[in-house]
Amino acid sequence: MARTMSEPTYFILAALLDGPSHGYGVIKLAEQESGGRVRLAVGTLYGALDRLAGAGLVELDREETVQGRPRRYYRITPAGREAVTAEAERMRQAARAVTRRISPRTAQA
Amino acid sequence: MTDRLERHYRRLLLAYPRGYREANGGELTATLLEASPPGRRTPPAREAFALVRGGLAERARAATAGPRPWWVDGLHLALPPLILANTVAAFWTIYNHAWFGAVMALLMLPVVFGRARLALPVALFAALQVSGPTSDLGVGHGVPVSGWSVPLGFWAVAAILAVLAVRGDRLRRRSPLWLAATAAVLGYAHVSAVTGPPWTLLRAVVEVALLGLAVAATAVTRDGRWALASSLYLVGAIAPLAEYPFVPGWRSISYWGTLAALTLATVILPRRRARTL
Repeated sequence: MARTMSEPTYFILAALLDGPSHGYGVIKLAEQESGGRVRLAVGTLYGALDRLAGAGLVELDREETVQGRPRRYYRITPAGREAVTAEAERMRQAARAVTRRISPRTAQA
Repeated sequence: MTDRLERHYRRLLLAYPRGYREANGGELTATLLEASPPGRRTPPAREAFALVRGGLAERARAATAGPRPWWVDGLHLALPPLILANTVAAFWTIYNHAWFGAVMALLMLPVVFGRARLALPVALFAALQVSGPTSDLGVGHGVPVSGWSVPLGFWAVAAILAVLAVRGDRLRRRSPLWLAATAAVLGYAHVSAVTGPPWTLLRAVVEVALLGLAVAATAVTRDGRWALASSLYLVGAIAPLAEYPFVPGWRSISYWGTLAALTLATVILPRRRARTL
């Protein structure tokens, strides 16, 4: 099933590769890892998490209560790990198509 | 400070359906407060927009849940706009015979509440009234009485209700705004005999807005029910064009073009590749 992953989805999954995280944690990490490009609004994040959970790429890890408010932690599933790895590999190959034809000295100014 | 912001967020969360809010509202609020820059008293526009968009998308998804097949819900969805259009088409009749307006209200009521079997007899009665020889009830005053497009609209509603009644599915409750709209049209018909450009413009705006919502819901869910409802409505709306000579002006062309394009969008969207993850 070779379908391209959107950038926000990719970085959400990447953020979870280190271990389970809660909503705001994912937002922070995704922004960090993408060099500030992926700035998820909370509404967008939870929509994406719902979709990913529906596709079996993400699942609920645990629920805690912090300062009287519920906080849920999410973790990546083996299928999610596979999907994001495949996407990273796809992008690496795509990048190689260009990078191997360009060397620092012969690149056009 | 946080209280005010939280209250703003809770209001924005109303965009989400109640079930979703109850299950996830607490967590969403917590994350929203965490993600907001300190000292903010109103939500950033980005967050507000994302919440409304997310909430409406959830509502669209909730609309596709349930035991009913998509086309049954699509048929049901087509009914309130068709009935409202029929009510408007019978404007002069209602102006002259107030009881017919009551009939239309009595038709919209069970339809909105999903009671097809209650609505069917009323729909049949209304259709017979506008189709019979115009002894006591001439529909479309000023329009040739041999017209078929207006009775067609009424019979279409009856036919749809017959299918739903025979199937006997439990139907969703539709928006009470349809009842309010019917009351508004009936109220106006009771009071004034004038239907001019503002009336036509208002109708066009409402139609385009509703079709826009249908396109958006289809884009989110890839479900065909809105396409079915929109197509049925378009056919009903176009029927008078087939019956009476059509004088094309840029206004009518852009109006019909917009309606047709939006309806086409609802039909085409589900066929495209599902959105990437």
